[in-house]
Amino acid sequence: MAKKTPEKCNESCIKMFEFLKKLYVGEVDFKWVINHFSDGKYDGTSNTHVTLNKYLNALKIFGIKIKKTNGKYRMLSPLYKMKFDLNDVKSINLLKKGCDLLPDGKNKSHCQEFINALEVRYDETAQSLIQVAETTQNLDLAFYHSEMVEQVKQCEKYCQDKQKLEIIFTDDKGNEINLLCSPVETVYQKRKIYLRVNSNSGSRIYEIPIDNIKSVHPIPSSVSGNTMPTTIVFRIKNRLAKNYKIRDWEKVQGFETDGSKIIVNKNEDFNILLNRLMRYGNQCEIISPKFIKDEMINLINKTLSNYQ
Amino acid sequence: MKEFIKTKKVTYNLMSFTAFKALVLFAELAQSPKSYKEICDIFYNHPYLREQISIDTLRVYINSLKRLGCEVKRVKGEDKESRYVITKHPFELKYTPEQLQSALKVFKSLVKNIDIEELVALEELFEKIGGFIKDEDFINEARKLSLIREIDRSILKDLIECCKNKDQIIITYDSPNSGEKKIEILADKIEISNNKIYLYGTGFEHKQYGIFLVNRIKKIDEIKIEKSMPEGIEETKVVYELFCPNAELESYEKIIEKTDDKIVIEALTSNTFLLRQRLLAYGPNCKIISPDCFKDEFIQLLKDMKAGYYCG
Repeated sequence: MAKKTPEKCNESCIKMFEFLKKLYVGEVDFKWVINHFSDGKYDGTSNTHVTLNKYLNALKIFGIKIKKTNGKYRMLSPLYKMKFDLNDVKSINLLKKGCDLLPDGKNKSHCQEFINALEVRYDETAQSLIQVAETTQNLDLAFYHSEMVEQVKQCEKYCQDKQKLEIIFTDDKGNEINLLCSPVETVYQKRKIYLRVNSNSGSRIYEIPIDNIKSVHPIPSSVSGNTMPTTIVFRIKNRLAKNYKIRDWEKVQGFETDGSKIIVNKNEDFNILLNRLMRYGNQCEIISPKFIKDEMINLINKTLSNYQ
Repeated sequence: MKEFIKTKKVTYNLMSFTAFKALVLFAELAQSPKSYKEICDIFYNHPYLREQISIDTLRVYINSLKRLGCEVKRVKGEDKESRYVITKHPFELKYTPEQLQSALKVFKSLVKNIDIEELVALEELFEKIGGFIKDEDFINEARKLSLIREIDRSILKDLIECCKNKDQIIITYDSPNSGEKKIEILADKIEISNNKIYLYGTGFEHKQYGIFLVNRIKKIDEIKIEKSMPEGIEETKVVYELFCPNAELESYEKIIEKTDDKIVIEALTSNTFLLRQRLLAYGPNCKIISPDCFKDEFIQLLKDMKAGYYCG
């Protein structure tokens, strides 16, 4: 069989497009560019500089803006653009703020690459909206985290490292609690950040507001993957049974003849769950386990004692 | 370059024409299919090129684009003329699974912190990106994390607008107790609470401030031109002590006294049911001071809850 002759190409065109491809990923070092255009033979005396300028001018006249600062090229206006409106640009800014809070590591760099890939493809309209988006942003995560950004990053790191921790934190009333636990994840809710942990036995979940944490000491013992969180079963009745929206971490175990529903709940902080179930008044009743049922009765009794 | 800016005349000394032609060709073929003749015309009429291109040179350019990673296809239109088109190219948005997962992680951290308008915009951005990269799984993963997955987005957007304008609206609401019915409300705000999205507003039927699950709102029947406040709204003033100093207050609550271990709050509300729910969640950290009728009902409710555990 005859060998297929390679099809004729224009090598310098390919070089220019490869340079553009690299610019889509991020900044490109001058050294790489000059080596690329001289086939790695640049010795400082050849005319590669002149050739490079001609290519850069061709790109510029075509409308692709490339800026060189501190020995690095950056693309300001690309060859292939995507349309983004004001809401998109605002959302991309939100992602950036969320990404800033991630600890240094693979996750953060992957997220930065995700955002960069969008920004580098901004069309002219999106570019003109950057300023507007920044001045009209509703969410400013810094409102809460300006002094706590390091703690947040540290907590993210604990979760990544999967090492057991000894945490001292304060409860609602300012009492200090000492807890041996395994970090699970950081949870963002209503503009507050919580560190979600599993108790040492693995049976109880805690969501600790990061600003309530007094100290954290890693323990030289890694987190076991075989934890079994406690399952809480409760009954909801009447109107609540009709209106109740099952959470992602719950399921309906059964229905009763009077229309009541039996709900099985896993992985929710007991204190948060008890407060939530308190809201439902006499339309809700914990069935098991006994110790949680007793905690609920205790909570009701303590509340009643305010009026005795 | 300075000369070009002054004279707008392009010379071989200024730029690489080969590179420029390749860029023009790429842009044209990525936009729509073009025949050889059409490409010749474009080059000939281009203010900086003003020359045609031979079919052999065109092939060289197309081979170069293919080598770069472009998918260049030949298609025939209704006029039977053969045209080139770029269907894929390396500058399109592409992500690795790791990059997508990291973005979803940040998305998850944001969804419970942003307001409803930002949430809608963020979800739409993720859908747009999913569309660009043709990845349905990515869109579905984002939707799974979103709180608005079960909600008709166009209704939600309209409700957001109504709340901004504080419109008087009539909605069709699928009530779990009485089925579908029309409700007239003075729309106030949309908020996320306990992972659910609620419309807050003053209802004309019960003459009180109420909350409505947005996923039960089937449609907005009418946005009234003129607004009025329901007559005869009865508001109750409730005073209570909170023993947790960092409690976040609602708009209808104000602090009337503050000491080291407690705050005294006065709430003015037309919906005592919602307030009672709120105070129950505080548990022993809350003590109602007045009015007596509200306090007595509250105590009775606690007693009923207790009785439920001993008699059930």
